[in-house]
Amino acid sequence: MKLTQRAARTYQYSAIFFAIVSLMLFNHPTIFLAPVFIILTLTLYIVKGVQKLKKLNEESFEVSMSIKPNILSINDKSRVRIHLESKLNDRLKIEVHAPLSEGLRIDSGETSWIGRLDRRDSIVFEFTVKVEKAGLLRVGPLQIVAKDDLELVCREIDSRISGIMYSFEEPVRARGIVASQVPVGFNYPGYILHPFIGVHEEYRESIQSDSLSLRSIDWRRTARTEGEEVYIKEYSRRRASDLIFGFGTGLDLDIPSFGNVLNWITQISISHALHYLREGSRVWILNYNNGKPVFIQLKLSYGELVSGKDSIPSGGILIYLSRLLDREELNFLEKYFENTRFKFNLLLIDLSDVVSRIVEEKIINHECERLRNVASKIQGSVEIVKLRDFSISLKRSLASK
Amino acid sequence: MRPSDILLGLLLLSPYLFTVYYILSKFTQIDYFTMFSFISLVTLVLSRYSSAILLSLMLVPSLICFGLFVMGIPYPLIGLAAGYIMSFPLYIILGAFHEKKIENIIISYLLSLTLNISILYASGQTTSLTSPDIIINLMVRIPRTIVGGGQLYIPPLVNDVFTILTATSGIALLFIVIRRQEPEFPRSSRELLPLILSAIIILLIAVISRVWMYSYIVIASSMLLLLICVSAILKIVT
Repeated sequence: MKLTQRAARTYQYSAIFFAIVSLMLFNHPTIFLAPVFIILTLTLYIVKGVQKLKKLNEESFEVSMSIKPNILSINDKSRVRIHLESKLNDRLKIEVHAPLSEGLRIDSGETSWIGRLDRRDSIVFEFTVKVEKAGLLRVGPLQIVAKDDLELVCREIDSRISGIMYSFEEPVRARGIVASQVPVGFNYPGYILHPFIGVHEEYRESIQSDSLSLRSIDWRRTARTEGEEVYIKEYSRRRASDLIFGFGTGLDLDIPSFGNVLNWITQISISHALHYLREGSRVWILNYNNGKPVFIQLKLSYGELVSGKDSIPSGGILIYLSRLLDREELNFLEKYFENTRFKFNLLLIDLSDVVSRIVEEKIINHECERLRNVASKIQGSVEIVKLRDFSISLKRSLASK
Repeated sequence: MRPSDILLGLLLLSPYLFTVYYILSKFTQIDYFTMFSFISLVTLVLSRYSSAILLSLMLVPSLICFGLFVMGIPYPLIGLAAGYIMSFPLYIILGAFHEKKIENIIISYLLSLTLNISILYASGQTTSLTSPDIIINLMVRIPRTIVGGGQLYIPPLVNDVFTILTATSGIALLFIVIRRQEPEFPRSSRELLPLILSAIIILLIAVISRVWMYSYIVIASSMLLLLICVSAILKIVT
């Protein structure tokens, strides 16, 4: 709880006036008593305001935020809608502010709402943001400031409500919610509706293994193309599962033609997750930040990512991407997930292919040796992945059961 | 504008209006230039700084008076200046009345109060007044007395009336400031409690420091009660 600027200024002005004019220039009672009267009255109203705001807490308000669309590309606009409902019996002056993360710019409307909230009343305000950066972006967490009637004292209330949006570098077609039939044209091998996949994993596997059963061919549909394209009765399967993407150490660096490696990897990972996962899937992002893990939960709902509750899953797939520069990193992971039923998949990122021109060969060899040593010590699924092959390795990890 | 707002406005301006009345009553003969400049400055602020008023009532007369001053007739310009000085506290408080920030209203009030009391001191130094006396007293005698550590004089009756009016004006100021934030103030008697409490404390301070005579404390308390009653009645009526 703290004084508002208004109260602080009034105190300052009255005190300065009292000091300069009353004590130094005139000793008339009115000059002496007027600032004292103002300060005293102000103090009493502040005490009254403190009493009123003291009982406020997180549960005094019900807040929700929706962002539509929240999967978009750079220069797209998204509409943010915030709903705040008071559960109090008093009326209050409220300021709600939604901070925007780097890469988001306000396009129309305002990110703040200031006004009076009557008892059991609710407010809704909307604004539009423009995306200027690719990656995972955030609106919030919402900052709520409650003030007394005279706006002399205010209290900040912590709100964990925030909205997540994800932006791509290039515009993408909207992902269908329902799995669709996969056309497999011989003229365009592997082409499917989804733009992220390019050559479809299942199709590629089926071609390579020559295990395409005649029974799986959709003859009727193939006949309509007069044999130019062959359709199979395969569906681009998506899995409904819990998935943690862990981003470990040694990735937050800039490399020519890739930009920031961590951002690039995050973008690729989420893009693929969006395709492979079915409705209702939950995705956590684990950021290993100097030994302080930060979890963000995302939920795939109606084709959108929504920010979920702060919880840790008890099972699913953990795909951990790292260079394992921190020795304690693995210990932490083992300790953290020892009581969970996770399928652990570690992708050790090898940057040697993309830094070969700018780094000495001796250092590259040392790094490769280090990664091999680390990988050999780890029990379980571990794979050293070159950055250029990352996309394929990730698909494999996601598709593996 | 609601009747309660008009009442509060009059109470807020009461010490200033009293000072003007007191000065004009001490004038041995009416100085039309002083009157004119006083009215022109107040009209300017009431008209929300109309350019027509500025041009017709201020710039043209000022230029004429300045021309007369150059030609060797200084009294119109001195009268004009005295009028402006007299109206300056009113000008400040009226100008600040529409301020959105309450801290600006309060500092303007305190500043105008200081100027007002200076003008009152300037008028209390002599038995009769002319326009040059106001300027000389304000610019020369009062600073000299303050620097020399002397005592400034106001007749006791004038002082007491002025003090009481300032007390009610202070309460009116806080009413106005609070109403600026909360137009329905006071919704209940509990909301007035801090204001009444601080008024009582100030009265006690006044008693202890003997700045007021005891008889006037009763009058001041009555004024406070009257103000609260009037506010409550207006609230019920409106």
